[in-house]
Amino acid sequence: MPIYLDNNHLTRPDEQVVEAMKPFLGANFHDPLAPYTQANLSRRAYGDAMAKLYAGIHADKKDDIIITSGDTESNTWLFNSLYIHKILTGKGGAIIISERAPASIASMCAYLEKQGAKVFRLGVNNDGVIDPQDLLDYITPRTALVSIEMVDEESGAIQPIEEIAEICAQYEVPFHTDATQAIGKIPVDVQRAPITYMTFSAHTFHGPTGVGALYIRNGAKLEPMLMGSQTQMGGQRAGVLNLAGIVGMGKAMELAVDALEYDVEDMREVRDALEEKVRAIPDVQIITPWSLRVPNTLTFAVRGVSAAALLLELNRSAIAATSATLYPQGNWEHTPLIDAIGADPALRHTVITLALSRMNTEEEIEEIVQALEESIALLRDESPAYPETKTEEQA
Amino acid sequence: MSQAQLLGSAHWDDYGFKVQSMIKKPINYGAIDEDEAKQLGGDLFVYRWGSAETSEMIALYWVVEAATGTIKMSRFELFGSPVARAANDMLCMLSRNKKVEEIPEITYKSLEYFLRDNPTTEALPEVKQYTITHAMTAAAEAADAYLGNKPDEEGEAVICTDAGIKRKTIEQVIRLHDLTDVRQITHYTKAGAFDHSCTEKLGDILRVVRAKMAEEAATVEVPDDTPFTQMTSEQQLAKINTVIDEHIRHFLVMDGGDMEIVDIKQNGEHTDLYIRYLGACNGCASASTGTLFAIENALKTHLDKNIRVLPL
Repeated sequence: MPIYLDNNHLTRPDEQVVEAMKPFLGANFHDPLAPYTQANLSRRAYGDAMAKLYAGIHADKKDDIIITSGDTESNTWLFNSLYIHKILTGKGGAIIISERAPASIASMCAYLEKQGAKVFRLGVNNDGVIDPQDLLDYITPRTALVSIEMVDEESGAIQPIEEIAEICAQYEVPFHTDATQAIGKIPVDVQRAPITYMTFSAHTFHGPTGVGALYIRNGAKLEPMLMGSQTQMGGQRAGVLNLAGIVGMGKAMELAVDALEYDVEDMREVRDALEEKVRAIPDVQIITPWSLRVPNTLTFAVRGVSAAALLLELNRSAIAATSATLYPQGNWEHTPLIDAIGADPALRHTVITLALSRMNTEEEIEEIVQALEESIALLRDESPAYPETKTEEQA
Repeated sequence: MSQAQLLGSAHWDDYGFKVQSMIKKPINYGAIDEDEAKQLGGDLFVYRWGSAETSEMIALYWVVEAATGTIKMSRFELFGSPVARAANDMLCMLSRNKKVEEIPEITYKSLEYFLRDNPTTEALPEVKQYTITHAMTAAAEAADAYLGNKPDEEGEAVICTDAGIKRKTIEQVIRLHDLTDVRQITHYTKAGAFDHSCTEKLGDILRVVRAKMAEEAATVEVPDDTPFTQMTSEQQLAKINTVIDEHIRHFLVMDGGDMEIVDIKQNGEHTDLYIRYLGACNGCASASTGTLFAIENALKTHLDKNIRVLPL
């Protein structure tokens, strides 16, 4: 049986999500905003799904959750709006993001820098976590926005966004967090911290692909990017609503929040058992400490083994995993993890991520470990980078 | 952009049969030790290229016969993309029984054609072409190191530190593949793939090399309306080589062979072209029949009806 371990990139839609979506891909296709009776079922489903999203992240009824096509659109929209209405007009100064920002934010900021915007990037410590105190070196009341991801996609490190949000609130600077990698893995509650904007996307919590959202706290400003009819999303984002997607995301959110009670703990146990066995392989370095990491992610460097080669070997054993340094598919828009945490540069291209979901089982562990051990031994045997680095260390 | 680019083409299952098999089971994979080298009647020469930091490291092991400088056996070890296994494996095969000084003469085209399943489909997707460049650079540098050739300092300057790519490699790929875009340089070398900060430098090198190429083309260009018989022998040779490259060589290379031009002579109204068959073509039954007619026909059709091809 194929084993899927690329869940930080994309998760398999839950069967219940697929079932919930089906009617809205067929007979109940109507636009929920249409005034006629035929659209009643659509309208009700839309309302239910939105209620589940509000409840899932504990949003206040006065806040907005604007449906988008996913995290990339949400982030791009926010940064575009910020640039046009705050930076270009001189109302705001610099943007502060993380050195490990998601690709959409990192690319967007690199683009904005070319347009003349000032961007500061907060580094992470040896564990892959940002020190909130570092923010004090850069933040001023004129800062346009601080944006820090809730969880690092590659290392799974949980960032201290509550402290960061508090600092932003003290300076009255809007704070954005990308929670795409957090929902379904750790509790996400916009009431626990003064979060101004928050991005999330259904594809990482067993919902459908192509639907996500941007949470906007009541009173926070955002200019529309997709223009058109004023009826959809309160005039914030035009285009006929992707009802099946919204229903799917609502159901997925409900299941993800429920899963935090039991299923996520089961997933953590499977991950931990796997982690213990991976730790036993010689010269393997697990990147972020257990306690600072989401319960589904296991990211490690395998000295002397190219991540690209290891992934292909795993693929032969029908195991799908990933590496952010895989070329050309990887994410090279931000600082490589090994450089960010200040580890040995020889490990830069040896990091792979095994990202589990609540659908992975205990029975799969043995197969994964066996494939890993065999592949690593095989590749190290012919690797010119293995004995050499080892000798250096021993010397 | 194109439909193919939109669909993306770096899927592991998309590689051809030959490349797939070489990735799975490279024949020349692994180190050679001193004892084995002695048994083969030569000296062991080891050359390491690249590093783990830059994502690719190749260790080349050659057993060289001291008296003749011939490579009796060639193997490699690799840290890097599995696709590089195919490129290095094929290069090791091509290196065998060649003299060390002949190694830099192995062309990108011949290596790439050897990796193809059929003459019309490229062996590797665009984004993996760099594996061939790296394999050839490593082998050429190894040959220089063996022969004690001093590299040109300017060419040795590392332009892309993240991928460890030198100026000479960038200049070579621009000329060899007639590149016009910085993105293409990245495909052929991996320079600028990770850290994009060297993009500007790559653009500068591209402009300088393109300007030089334009200058050179203006001086050696053969006017299209000159009849073949009135060309100088250098011009004739250049024309013949172009026709052979375009119409003949890939068929020979696909079957593990190749050819080279030894001499060109005017014999009355005829132009006699003396060629030597290489690799599998040498001794092949059709070398004096089908293959010969194909070569002669191509030259007659495209250049002059009085060309005669004489294999040595």
